Amino acid sequence: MNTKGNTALRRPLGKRILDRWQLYLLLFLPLVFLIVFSYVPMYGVVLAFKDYKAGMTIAEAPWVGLEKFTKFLTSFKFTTILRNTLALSFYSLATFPIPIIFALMLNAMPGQRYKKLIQTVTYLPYFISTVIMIGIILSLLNERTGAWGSLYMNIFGRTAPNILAKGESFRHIYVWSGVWQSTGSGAVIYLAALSGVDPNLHEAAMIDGASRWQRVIHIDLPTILQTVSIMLILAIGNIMSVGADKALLMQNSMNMKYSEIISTYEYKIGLSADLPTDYSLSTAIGLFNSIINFILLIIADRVAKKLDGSGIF
Amino acid sequence: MAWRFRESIIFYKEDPKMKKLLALLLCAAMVVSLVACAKVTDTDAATTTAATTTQTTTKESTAKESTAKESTAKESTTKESTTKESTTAPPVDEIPVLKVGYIPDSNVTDLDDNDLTYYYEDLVGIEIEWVELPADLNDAISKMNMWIVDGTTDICDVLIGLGLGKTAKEWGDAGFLLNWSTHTDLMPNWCAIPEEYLEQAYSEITNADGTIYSLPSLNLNYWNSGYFRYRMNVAWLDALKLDVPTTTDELKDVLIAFRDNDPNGNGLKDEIPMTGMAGNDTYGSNTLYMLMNCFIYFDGFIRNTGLSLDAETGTKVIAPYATAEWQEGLRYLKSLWDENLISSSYFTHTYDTLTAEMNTGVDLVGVLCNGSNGIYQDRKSGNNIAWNNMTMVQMPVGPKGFVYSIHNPQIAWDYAYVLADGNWELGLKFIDAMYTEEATYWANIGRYGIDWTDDPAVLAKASNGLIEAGVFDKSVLVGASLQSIWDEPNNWHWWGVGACMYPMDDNVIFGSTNPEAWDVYKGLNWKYNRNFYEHEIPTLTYTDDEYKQISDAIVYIPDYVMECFAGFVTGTMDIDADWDEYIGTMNDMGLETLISISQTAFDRVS
Amino acid sequence: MDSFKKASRGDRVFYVVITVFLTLFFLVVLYPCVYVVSASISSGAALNASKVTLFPVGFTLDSYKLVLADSTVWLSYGMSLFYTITGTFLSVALTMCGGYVLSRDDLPGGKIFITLFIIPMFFGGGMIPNYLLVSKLKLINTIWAVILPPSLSAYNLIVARTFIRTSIPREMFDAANIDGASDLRYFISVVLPLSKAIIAVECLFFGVGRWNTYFTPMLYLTEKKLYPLSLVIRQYLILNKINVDKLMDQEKAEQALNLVAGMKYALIVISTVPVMMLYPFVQKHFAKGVMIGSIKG
Repeated sequence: MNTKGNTALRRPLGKRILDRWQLYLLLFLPLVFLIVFSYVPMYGVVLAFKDYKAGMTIAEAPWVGLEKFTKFLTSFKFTTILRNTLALSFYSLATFPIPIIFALMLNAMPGQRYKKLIQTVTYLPYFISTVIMIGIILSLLNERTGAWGSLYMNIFGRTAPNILAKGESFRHIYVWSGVWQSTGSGAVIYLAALSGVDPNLHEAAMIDGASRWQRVIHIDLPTILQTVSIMLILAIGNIMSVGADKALLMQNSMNMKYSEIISTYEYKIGLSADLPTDYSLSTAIGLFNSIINFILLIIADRVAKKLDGSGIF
Repeated sequence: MAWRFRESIIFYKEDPKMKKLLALLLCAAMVVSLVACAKVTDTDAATTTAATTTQTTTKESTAKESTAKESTAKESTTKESTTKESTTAPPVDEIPVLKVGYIPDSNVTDLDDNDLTYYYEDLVGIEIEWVELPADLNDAISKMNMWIVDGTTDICDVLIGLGLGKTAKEWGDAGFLLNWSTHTDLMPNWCAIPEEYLEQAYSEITNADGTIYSLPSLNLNYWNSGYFRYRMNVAWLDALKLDVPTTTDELKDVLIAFRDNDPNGNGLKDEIPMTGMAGNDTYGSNTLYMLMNCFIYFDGFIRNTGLSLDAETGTKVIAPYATAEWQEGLRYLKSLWDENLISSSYFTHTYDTLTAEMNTGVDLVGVLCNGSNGIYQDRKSGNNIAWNNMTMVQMPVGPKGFVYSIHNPQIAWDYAYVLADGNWELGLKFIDAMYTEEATYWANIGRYGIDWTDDPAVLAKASNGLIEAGVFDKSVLVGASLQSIWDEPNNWHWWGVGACMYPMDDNVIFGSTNPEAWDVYKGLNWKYNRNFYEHEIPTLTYTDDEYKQISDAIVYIPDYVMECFAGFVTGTMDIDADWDEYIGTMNDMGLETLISISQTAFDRVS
Repeated sequence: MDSFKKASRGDRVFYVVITVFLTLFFLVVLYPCVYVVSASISSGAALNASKVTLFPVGFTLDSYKLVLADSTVWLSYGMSLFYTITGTFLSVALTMCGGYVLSRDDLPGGKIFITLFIIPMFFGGGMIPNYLLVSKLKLINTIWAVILPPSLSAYNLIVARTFIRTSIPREMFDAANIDGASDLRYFISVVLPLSKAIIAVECLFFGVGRWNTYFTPMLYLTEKKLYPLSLVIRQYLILNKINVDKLMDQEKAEQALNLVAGMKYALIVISTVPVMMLYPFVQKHFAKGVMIGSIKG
């Protein structure tokens, strides 16, 4: 009985809490972990406003206010790295529907065995480490010794152009190699959601004469829409988190304008072995990213709420 | 509605496995939570104590730092007793344990049961406990930073096999590493090293404030001090009846001939006249950087952010990549690029793709500058075409009549550090034991009598690449190797975990009776790759304040120079029109400050 | 349900089209997998010469021999299995409990709790305070340092919550309520059995995540006996690069490299085997019709 809106019938807070004591019991353990491992260490955020050097405790480090943020925001390359980070993020976000489409197709495909095979194999690249993956890609794209080169030579009879020399290709390779690697694993959650589709709906639709295609659009898709919405919101909340590993491996002298992103800057200035580690700076950069991510998450959530009432909060 | 719920109850009841699983789940969850809770409440009390302990440890280390800075023997005895108090005094008969942190090498089959380990254990009178560090240097530094934060600085006594760079100074100031400049009395072997090497070593490892944290490997290995090895396909020269080009203009003509006249004789114009790998960290594969030395001396950012001294007086610090001579060099290289004389993959090569280009099975490459012989795969069997046809030749001189070899005169390489909080006396003794010829030979050539010998009868028949090339006389030979210790993983030396600490050059003083082991190319390298610049700049050390001002420039400038280098040569940037912007950007990055501060640093040591 | 034989002509076209697309994608994705397997059975020299493109060159089982002869690999394999199983168990328990509770509209303070869970997803203290915490809890160099800290994942909790909300309708709860079932009973008897799919997914996510994680074990463990396989693999991956800072003669460095070039691929193959075996079990729970009989109309 939902008495939320009805203030007359609403019981006092204390009673309501006692009513639901079992829920609180179940929540107890997750809360303990949350507080101990997520909230207790949170004080470290203050490092962003201090100048921390090795050998100090966090308390001992001197306050420097916004100095680290200023260093980062007024840094020589700031506009470039911000632009590149956002470009990669939005580009990656644009490929968000691909695992969904893949899951829908796989779900609609006849042939159980083959389907399972495809599912298992497409999941595997997720395990191949970035180092090896990028090595494979760079070898393939070599215009003389790679598959790209051989193919071009066979078709056009002359040496292929060097794709890697064009700076813009960095973004394309970055994003599409990500699709290559994570579509299979990204589709898992949607496949799970699709397992909840009511087969009766399908039977009813088939009786009504709907084609398989129509059934996908009108039954499968709406069923997983809430899941899609949440995954999208969470993805938006991760926009600034573009890791440094892949970009560093793919950087060359021709694509520096496109391949320097926030995390590579952070790595070179703050974490590289040549210089003393600057934890304050990396905390400040992390905080900067987090604030933006958080704001975007709230916005995305509000929008989702307005559109179809779903959302996290 | 009720019947639906009952259905699911039935569903649930009929599944005993599920029931058991869930019950197990909840029980486990409860147990874990109790354990975790217990630990949390435990440590609420411990938190306050832990916080104070960290504080005290830091205070102790600051105290140690000030003691280290003063150089009276009395201070060191006080430190000694403090350390002795904190560790339980071992019984007289027990052998002290030295905890050695190291970066692993997967070729060592066993580090504990290892002949070289036993050697040191016997010599120094210790038992070594090996503490493995993460293989990635950044990971290792993160981990050790956490030790410092946490105050648990007794996990290791010494660190070997890694180079901490600037981090060493930071850790030294924090009291984590030992400043051993005041303890050379405990290091007889180090002090016995010939004066000339010691002097240079000290100038390279001493910080601006007089502290020394690094215990370096003094490696004279000439082979690795200049690794831009310029090779040309002499088979092609023969096929086209050309001579080795002696000037940059002649080189261009030869490259054009390579491109057009089908020297590999397969009827296709598939030749790549010149190749290499662009980048600032390519171990000698950046052919175009090497060619810039025909116009001005430039060391490819090996040291001092690529700065060098002016040619006229040798007293002014300059940035070669911001000069008019650099522009000239760029024009020359651009003319090569425009004529398709440089591999189209030059600026996007990785080591793997360069290797692939060199090993297609077809004789494809005319000129290459490269440090590592590894790109000539399978060369020992004689099957590598490029290796067979290409050989080191003299470098072409530029329009002003000179060409310089990129050379790193540094002899002190980061290798070992002693931790201030551990058994540092023993640690120093241990590292000092490596500074002998005996130990150094072992690390590089192997065990005396088994892997190498100095039997005069054998020596008479032995030789090496430098002797064969006529650079040295047979009398320099100290030993002849009997078998290679680098062929198979083994446990009788430390591979990359060890280093040559005592200054020597094994390319010179060791030989072999097997002619195949006389690396003739090493002799050629001596012949052709020693056009040293007259005014080589020493390795500069900066004070902390100076460093703060230039740290950004040091990070930004090399990448930017490389980026623009690629742009200028390939034509996406105009050498004349865009030059001012190029210089201006570098000044924004702090180039002028870098030069002036480096001038101060240089004046300090000269 | 999707049977080619019984399908209409329009549907058959549809089936063919999607099968073709999926097959193409499958082949493209298959390539790196085949490459890694081929590389693991190729000779070191061929690998360093970049001769391996699809099929093995210089067939050799040496890489596997070297890997399997290393006792650290076996030990860390066992440790990884232990960490993954216990950790996943714990994580899934936390996620399902939390996800269920937060899916309830009538939980007083629900919104506050959700916000509480989400904030740490964005704001964290970083390496230093986390290390200090684990140290103060006396967990450094113990298995708990690897198992406990990553147990709660707010991200997965939200996904689970969404799943429970959308697939288990309000009516079920009302029915259970009428029948006198308590919140706890409802959770155990209804929610969990019906959540098999999401539990399976969470098992997969957490399992894979824990199996691959290497950074925190690297940071918190000094005893080699406790290392997980992921850390051992990372050591090999790093050690197999030509390090221009290495003090030895480059000649020797290269020689050494040839010997171990194939090991990183062999290690990846070995490391992926458990996941490949786990996946079909998990897939079962994605099968359609899990909800049959629970909801009608």
